[in-house]
Amino acid sequence: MSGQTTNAAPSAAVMKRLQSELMSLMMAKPEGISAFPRPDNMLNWIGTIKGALGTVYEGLEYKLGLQFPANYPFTAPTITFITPCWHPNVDERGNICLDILKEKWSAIYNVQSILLSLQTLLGDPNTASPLNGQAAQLWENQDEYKRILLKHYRENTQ
Amino acid sequence: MFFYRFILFHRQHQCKTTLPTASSTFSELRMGELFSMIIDFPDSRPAIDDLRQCVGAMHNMREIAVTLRSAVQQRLLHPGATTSDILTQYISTIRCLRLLDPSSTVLEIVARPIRDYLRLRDDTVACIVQDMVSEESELFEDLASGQGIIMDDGPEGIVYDEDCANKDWEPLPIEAKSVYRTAQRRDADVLSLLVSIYDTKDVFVQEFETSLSKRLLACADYNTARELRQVEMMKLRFGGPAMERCEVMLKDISDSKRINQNVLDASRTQHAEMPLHATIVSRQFWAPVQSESFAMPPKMAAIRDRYAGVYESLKPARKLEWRDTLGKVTINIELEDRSFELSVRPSQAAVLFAFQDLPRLTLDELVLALECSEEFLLPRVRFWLGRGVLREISDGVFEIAETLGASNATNDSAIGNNSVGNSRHVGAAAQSDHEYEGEDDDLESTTATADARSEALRVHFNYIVGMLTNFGPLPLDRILSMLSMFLPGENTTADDLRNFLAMMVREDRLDLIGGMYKLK
Repeated sequence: MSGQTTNAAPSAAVMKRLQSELMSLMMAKPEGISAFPRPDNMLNWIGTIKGALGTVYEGLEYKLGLQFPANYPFTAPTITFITPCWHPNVDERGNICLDILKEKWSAIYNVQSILLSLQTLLGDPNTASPLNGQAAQLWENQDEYKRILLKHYRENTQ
Repeated sequence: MFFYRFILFHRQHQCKTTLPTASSTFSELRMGELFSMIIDFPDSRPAIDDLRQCVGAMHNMREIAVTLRSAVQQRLLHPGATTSDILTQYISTIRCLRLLDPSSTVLEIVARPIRDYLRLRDDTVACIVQDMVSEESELFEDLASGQGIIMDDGPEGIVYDEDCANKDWEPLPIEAKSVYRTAQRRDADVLSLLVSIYDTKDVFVQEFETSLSKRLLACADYNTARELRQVEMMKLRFGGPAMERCEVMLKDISDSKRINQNVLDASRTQHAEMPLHATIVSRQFWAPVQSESFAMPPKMAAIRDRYAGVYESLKPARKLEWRDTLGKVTINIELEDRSFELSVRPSQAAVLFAFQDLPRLTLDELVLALECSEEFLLPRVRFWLGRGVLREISDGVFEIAETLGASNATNDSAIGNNSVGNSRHVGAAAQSDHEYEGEDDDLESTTATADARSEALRVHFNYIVGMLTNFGPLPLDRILSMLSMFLPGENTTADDLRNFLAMMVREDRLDLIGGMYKLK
């Protein structure tokens, strides 16, 4: 988790930006989304998202690791699932395939909008470019998908 | 041999052999009375001067210091002394001991327990600030003298260098050393000594802001000349940036004056006089005023809404959000045998308005009429009881006291009833009218600060929920350290946080299991 902390010391501007993002996230309290910096490192946060109501992910909760680069927000943070997530766009090591975290990143995104996008991604995957082929194939069959998803979730969260 | 020469310098005509005995006997006699001399200072100035002539003969000042310190601990630093008395005595002690002992050694030994004790009292900052801005006080002179900005931490190295250059420099004795971190304070004036009781001057700036906002909100005529002067002087002592919020407050008041005039002119062109004058403040810069809501009497509400209408037509993008519990209403009260004019709070006026249609109301009916809580209502009803305008005819039933004679008698009996301790009773211990008013003002200000605190704690709670959501159950010290790390300007103590978390547990928002706090 601390593989990228070898970057140059974060500047005051980055700290300030993250601090104010934290403040607005804490005060906004968006439904089913939360994140907080690890006690020793402002650049390394833990996030929590809950599957949106009405999707197969409803009632499931996933932990995420958010690693911010020293030149945030000009480079996207690296985000991975800590709780194993069975999903067409997430691989078995928790890596996520989402365009706004890669080539479509923009400095106007923030922790809250990223987490919201990820929450949306859970219920609305992009099956055209999957990291998990099995999940992508099964997506059309929601009942079967949900059965395997819950089995996977239970195995991994116990 | 040193002290012989020293004496001769003061009393050149005295005989060398007898004098040391005489003066040391004298100073031994007087030593025990020093505390009383300080109480009477500056009237006791001649006695202090006498003592000064003699203490030179003592081998050291330590004895004086120790005697005085124990007197201070016995006679001053106990719960019976008010904070302002302790402060007054501390200030006199500083002035006396500076006369007695220019090196300030005694002062530094004696001051330590006083300073430690003052730090424990909650109202010390408020007392100092109050003293500082009241124009007759000595502190005010210190403030006005503009001795330069008080720093949080003096530049120690430089100051010691200066001291070493001075031939008479002597190191502070062990007892005094830890009291002041910098030798600079030997020469500091009383105000900076008081400010240095605390590690940071911010507490004073905050207290001043609170007291300033209170005074500005109470001022009905937009005249801020006095406050302006105070802020200017505070700037000299505490630095310009520290006073920024205060400057915004002053500007708000002068803007209000202008806007108010515009509103009055505008409503005059509509051929309607405007009997209301508003103070319009920018919420961000003022201490939060969260007033409990109550139903404004229709007559007053109509005037208020008309004002808002004119304001919004003058400044289209803005909207007024009223704080109904603040402000003053001048009302004419006409009763059968007397009539008078009174300036009261809107909420107090609202209580009386409720009686206009129905001359007799129960407490529950009043609560309904004003749409407020009973706790909010009681002090306001009590206010009118104290003025003899209302009277309690039986348990929790009130009516207008149309005639004075009857009102007095009934009012007395109401007070008698109350002492039985029925919590539904209104009525209060017998007090003068003036005190009723004071009590009410106090009540308002305490709710305001309590609200400000709970607002701050609401931010805390959101952060705590954030931590617990993402990290799972946490112990108190982890929560405290994360709050102080990620919440800017955070300075909650462990005790405060423990109390707050205990409250959250009572309110069923958190669980405490095995020393770990957990979300419900």
